[in-house]
Amino acid sequence: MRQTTLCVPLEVKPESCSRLVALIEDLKRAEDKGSDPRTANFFRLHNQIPTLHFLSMSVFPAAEFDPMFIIEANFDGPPGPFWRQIDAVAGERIRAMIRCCKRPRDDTGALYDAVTEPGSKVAVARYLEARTEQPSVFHHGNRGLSRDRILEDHQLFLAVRAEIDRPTGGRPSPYRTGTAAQAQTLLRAAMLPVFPWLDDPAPKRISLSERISDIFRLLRFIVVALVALTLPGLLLAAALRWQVYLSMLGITAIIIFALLFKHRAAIAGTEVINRGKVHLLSPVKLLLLLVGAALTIFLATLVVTPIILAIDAIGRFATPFDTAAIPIAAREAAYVAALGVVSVFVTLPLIVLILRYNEMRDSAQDRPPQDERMLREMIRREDWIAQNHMGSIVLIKPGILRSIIIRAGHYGLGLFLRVTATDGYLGSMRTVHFAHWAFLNNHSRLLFFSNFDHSWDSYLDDFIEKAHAGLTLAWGSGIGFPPTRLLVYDGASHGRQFKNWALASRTVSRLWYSAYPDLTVDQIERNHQIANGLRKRSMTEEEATAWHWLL
Amino acid sequence: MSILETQDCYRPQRGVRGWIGGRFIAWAPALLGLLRRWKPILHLFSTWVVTRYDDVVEIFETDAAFGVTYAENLDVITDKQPFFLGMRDTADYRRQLAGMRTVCTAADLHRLADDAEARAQAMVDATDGRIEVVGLVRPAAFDTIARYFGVPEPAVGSLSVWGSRLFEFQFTGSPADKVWLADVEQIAAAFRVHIDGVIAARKAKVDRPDDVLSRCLTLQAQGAAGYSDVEIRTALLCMIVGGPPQPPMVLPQALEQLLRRPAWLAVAQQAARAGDDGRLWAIIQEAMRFDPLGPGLKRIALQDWTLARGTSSARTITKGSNVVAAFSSAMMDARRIPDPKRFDPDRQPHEYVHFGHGLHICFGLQINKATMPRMLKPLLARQNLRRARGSAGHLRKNGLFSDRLVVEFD
Amino acid sequence: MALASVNSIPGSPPNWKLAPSLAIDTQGIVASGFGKLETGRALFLEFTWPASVPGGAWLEALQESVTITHGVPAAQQDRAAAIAFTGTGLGYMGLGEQALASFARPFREGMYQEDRMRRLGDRRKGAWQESVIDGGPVWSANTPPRDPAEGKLDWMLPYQVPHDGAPEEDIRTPLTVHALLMLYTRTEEDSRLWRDDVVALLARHHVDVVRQLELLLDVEHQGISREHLGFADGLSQPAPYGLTVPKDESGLVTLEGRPAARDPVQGVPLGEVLIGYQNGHSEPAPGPVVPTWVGGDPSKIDPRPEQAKLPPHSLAEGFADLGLNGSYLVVRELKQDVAKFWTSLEENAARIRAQDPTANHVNAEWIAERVIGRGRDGHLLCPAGYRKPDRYGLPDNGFLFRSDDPHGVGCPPGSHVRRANPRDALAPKDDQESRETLLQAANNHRILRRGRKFGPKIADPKVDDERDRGLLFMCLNTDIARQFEFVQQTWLLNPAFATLFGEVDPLLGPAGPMTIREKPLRRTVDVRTYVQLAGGDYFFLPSMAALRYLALL
Repeated sequence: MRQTTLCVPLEVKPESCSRLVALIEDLKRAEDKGSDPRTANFFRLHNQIPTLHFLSMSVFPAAEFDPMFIIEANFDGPPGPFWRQIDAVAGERIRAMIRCCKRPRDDTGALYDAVTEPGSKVAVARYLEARTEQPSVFHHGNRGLSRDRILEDHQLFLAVRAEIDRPTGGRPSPYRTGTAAQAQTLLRAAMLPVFPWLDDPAPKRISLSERISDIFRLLRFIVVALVALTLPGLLLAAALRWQVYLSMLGITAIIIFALLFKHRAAIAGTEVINRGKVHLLSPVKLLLLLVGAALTIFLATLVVTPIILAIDAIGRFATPFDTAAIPIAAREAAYVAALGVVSVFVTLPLIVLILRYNEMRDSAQDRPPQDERMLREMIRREDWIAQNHMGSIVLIKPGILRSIIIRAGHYGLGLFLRVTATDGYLGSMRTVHFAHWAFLNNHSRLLFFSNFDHSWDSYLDDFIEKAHAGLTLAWGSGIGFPPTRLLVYDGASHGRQFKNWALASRTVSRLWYSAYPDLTVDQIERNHQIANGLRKRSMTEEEATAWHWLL
Repeated sequence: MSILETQDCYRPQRGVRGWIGGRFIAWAPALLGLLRRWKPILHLFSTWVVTRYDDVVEIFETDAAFGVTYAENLDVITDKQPFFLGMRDTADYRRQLAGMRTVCTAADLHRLADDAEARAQAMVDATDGRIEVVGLVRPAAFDTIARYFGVPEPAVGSLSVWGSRLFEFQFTGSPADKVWLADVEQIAAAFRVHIDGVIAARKAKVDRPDDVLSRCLTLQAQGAAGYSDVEIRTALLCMIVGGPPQPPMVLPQALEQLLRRPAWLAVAQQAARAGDDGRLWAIIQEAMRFDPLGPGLKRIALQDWTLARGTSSARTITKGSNVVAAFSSAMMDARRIPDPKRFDPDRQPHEYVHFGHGLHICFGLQINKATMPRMLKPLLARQNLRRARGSAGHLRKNGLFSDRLVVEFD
Repeated sequence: MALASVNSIPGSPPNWKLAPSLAIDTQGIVASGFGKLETGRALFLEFTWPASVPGGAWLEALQESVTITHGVPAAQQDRAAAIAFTGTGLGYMGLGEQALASFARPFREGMYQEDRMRRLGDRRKGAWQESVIDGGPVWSANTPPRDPAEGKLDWMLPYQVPHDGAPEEDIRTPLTVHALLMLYTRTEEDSRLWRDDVVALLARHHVDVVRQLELLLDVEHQGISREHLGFADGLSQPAPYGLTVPKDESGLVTLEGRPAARDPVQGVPLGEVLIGYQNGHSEPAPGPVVPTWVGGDPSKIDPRPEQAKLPPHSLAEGFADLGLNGSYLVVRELKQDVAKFWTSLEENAARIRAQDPTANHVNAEWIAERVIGRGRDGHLLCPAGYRKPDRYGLPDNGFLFRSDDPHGVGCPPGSHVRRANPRDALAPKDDQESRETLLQAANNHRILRRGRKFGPKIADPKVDDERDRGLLFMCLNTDIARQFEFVQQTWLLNPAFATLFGEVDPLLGPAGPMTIREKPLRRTVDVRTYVQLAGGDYFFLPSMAALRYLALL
């Protein structure tokens, strides 16, 4: 099941900001408790938006901008039906909220008018759709599990638990007397009448086509990046004799690495212990790089061969097409391309070196101002259920090279996570349900939303203690971020500064809905494994024993 | 033979025209699918065909700009007596609608539904395991509704044929077709005379049965406005023309859809046997989504209106244009309907727009919801329900409307 | 649960010590639990002097009878004492607004701030939880809630639309505690005598002793003592060491005379325990400051910081470091219901045996061991039984969970010891790197426990004698939120801890289920509420210099 994560950022008329907040609070009150005390919290959202996992509405004040109203949504399937569903539940309330926002100055202005004019019945879904911002990087913890799958698995888990604990009237429990495999068969038989879907095969979480497209897009990115990084090398390799070219590369590389080595350490006073290990080259990354390099050489050969042929033909005033020349030209082209690709060992470290110089001159904000009132509003909404929510906006550091790196880096990181983070883990963390980054205001601001397990403090501690490298890479582009080193080091390891910085960038999650407030990512995976075990008609004793630990 | 005595419920569609019409209906979903993708708001001569969900709903919601076009045809049927179906959102419209809602209340639904099921049950029981579904539903629908409103069969002809013929004209015909008009005027006149007679007879009676007619007469006696003899006649006439012709059209279509999906047929049968009417309605409604009453509803632009304003598909529809709001297409629009090709009885209410939407949402929605599953229930409850052999076992349509579907059971 | 562990009794493993230069400025309780001084009193003090009396006068006077023990061990110690203050206490003593604002947020807000109570599992939606004594705790610092108008944005006022929720709850306890004075003695008799002296002295200086607890540490052998349920306690403690990066602090903690290396399992940076040293975030653990001037004039030097020998603060120019060598002390008075514990486990065992005749091994003792995670004598439960003792014959604390007991067949995943310090148990993968990362992550949330039990021993653990007994839980940490509160919220009382569902710490939490994994199939027991909070708050444990400063107020 493909899932969607998106957000709709809308600039707020500052004079209407307080009213907007009140409207969101109203909606929250109406949906959360409802008017009937017998119904579950948010039952309308739960029943009428059956695809929805998490939804949030928040208003971000800013010192440099007018406030920003952001709707964040994470759901199953494509966005269109989802927007219609939310329109059916709260269309008129959302219309009132949109009226508190500014008319966009781009070509969606007309749609804004249509949606907000008095008495308008034009679906707000259209406007929200048109104003949707796609995430730059996102992560789905229980990727591919639809909301209903998660809820059904959990019902099954509760039933299994009750069945195992059911009093047996003095006889030993039937699940205890036989082998583990027999117990599984018995449990399956007991559950099947109530959960007939156990007879169906488990729905595929990531379809083959999705998988292939993920890998393809990542490889495409690597190839494009390699081409960009090696283009100067390619031209030089074509122009120079290989001895000259390689010597040039070697000398430049040595100089760059020497400079990098010189500046590798933190500036005195900002040293910090990096707790998690940083693996710049894991086998997966190496494999991807090699495949990318091979593809690049192949593509470059395809492009360069006809060029050589053409030049050759023009040079000889000969017939433009000489079949005998093709293999020779291709060999020549491949040779040049391979030489060109080697230049990545210069361009990449060079970029890192320039960024390192930038880093040494970046200002960090050790103690950002914190609005006490807002802090209190945030905290009073936290730690009610197993999960929590955070939304944050930071400004992005300037500079041409940095801009390119941030965009390419986010794009590449997003694709990389898509390919590698498929088992729910993000580094050593398995507490993230849905999280995403997105750029706002022409890439000048970076938005971060996360729906995670346990407290905010423990979540941030996880970043500090377990996943500081990836986080530093993605968030280190924010203005005021604690000092980073070589893009992935330090940064979030400056625990207290990092927490202060992140806290100051947050806002109150005014409305926040979770479709399964009791369930952690781990629990969802556990339930799903239990369900998948029960789907099996039989198990080997070994499988069954391992499966029993889940119960 | 007089047209009043015909046995054909619809005008026979014959010859090349009939064939083309039939093909067109068969290909409509695919054609509309193409329009939805490439030309969501199509301008063809003076008619606009609107195929996307958002736009169709916008038309239904914006009754100030898109009026109903029923008045002209309705005038033929009612002899120029106004009825709310043909009106815009006026005080008259609301008064008439409220008047109807006073005499047709939710408390009647239970009785109506029981009645419909009993009639269908009797017919199913009377067969030897083979039944034609249109012929099963039609009498069940007409008899139930006619009794509810208090209109007995006429001496010559039948309510079901008259009602269906007038319905056919109302929604697909035009007074421009003189031959058709002549037939319809004849039937309508006879129908009006028949109802006038029924009202007169009822008035003479002391011991009146509890039905809509009696309630109207009681209100008339109390001096309530809107219940003159002519107004009562018009209301009864329109209700019988507008209501009972529909189930025999859509229920066979729904059953055909279920026969194509044996797994869901089994679920429907299970629900029928378990007496789970709510579930059965959900399944039938979902089946109807795949083949609703017609491809769309007609509206007329009362003012210039930019449909889908602010989007790339925006078009300005000029005043006076005909507009076809293709609800059948809207319900298949993946832009708004999750996985529209999947059969899923648990869909959200807003995903169904075949009863219309907004001001002119079907008056009989509640009656249909209550009675339609019950008319099919006795048949579905039977074991081994299957298509009859050969072409008879597949739904045949006459023009837009269901004509014949034979099924067998044990 | 907490008891002193850092004792120097022959035949025990060596203990860490602070370098003498450091030890002389810290209160003795930081590096020692005073294990040889088995009896004592906890005196909870409320200040009542009139405004005219200087706030530090009583401290000055207290020295007549009490010497707050510093960390350099005396040859033969018969008495020891420690003192700590709440935020309201420091305010009453006249510590300035600025200085008060420089303390950590949890300390400033107190333990009874509405949101904090929810996170600590004490109070939710205006109702005390089962794990709090009826009617709510009896003592606290009684910190007033913050001003709700704080930080309003002025420019918004004309367009303001009301949308705020209810104001913060104002929770007050019957007793107000401004300071905690701990007296440690060799004998109960001495405790009584000393207590009488101190109470009389304090009374003369308008300090009321509003609550007293008789503390006890009945050491059996080699520093092992048992809490009221009968289980050896206070076994696993973090072992501080000095970090070398960025500043070399390795000489500040010693083990057998040499700079202490990082203990592979229990090692935590010194800054986790003492303010001013590098902590788990590789920065000096932040602490409070006092301005070095008086009035509104920065050029008017306040002589008191200088007099008290407070060092200048490293970041805030013109301020003296009040926190250095101090720490935050978390105190929670926990009442234990021993009879309920044993009878309810007996019932559980009987129920299980009745349902399952093969479950002969299941008795109250068996369940109790699994609730705790250790045997009565403190040996960890392992899949094969108990963990082997270390070379001193003591319970071995160098264990890890992930490789040896991944499913918690020995030590249940939700047992008290595993929740209180999961070590590497939460590692997602069983590889060296994953285990090490998670162990180090867990060690960023350690607390140094200094609690003692109070109340009489129970005669028959299955018969309720209606006497008050329990544990005066005390722990030292420099970051209350990251250490104590994290342990309480994310580990102990987390219903989703380690992929368990809907169960919390069986010993400390409210009643509920507990899963005990066993072959072939896990069992569930229904634990009741055995421990209830009777009072508590956050205290500041000053250094000796800071104490001198406070006496000058």
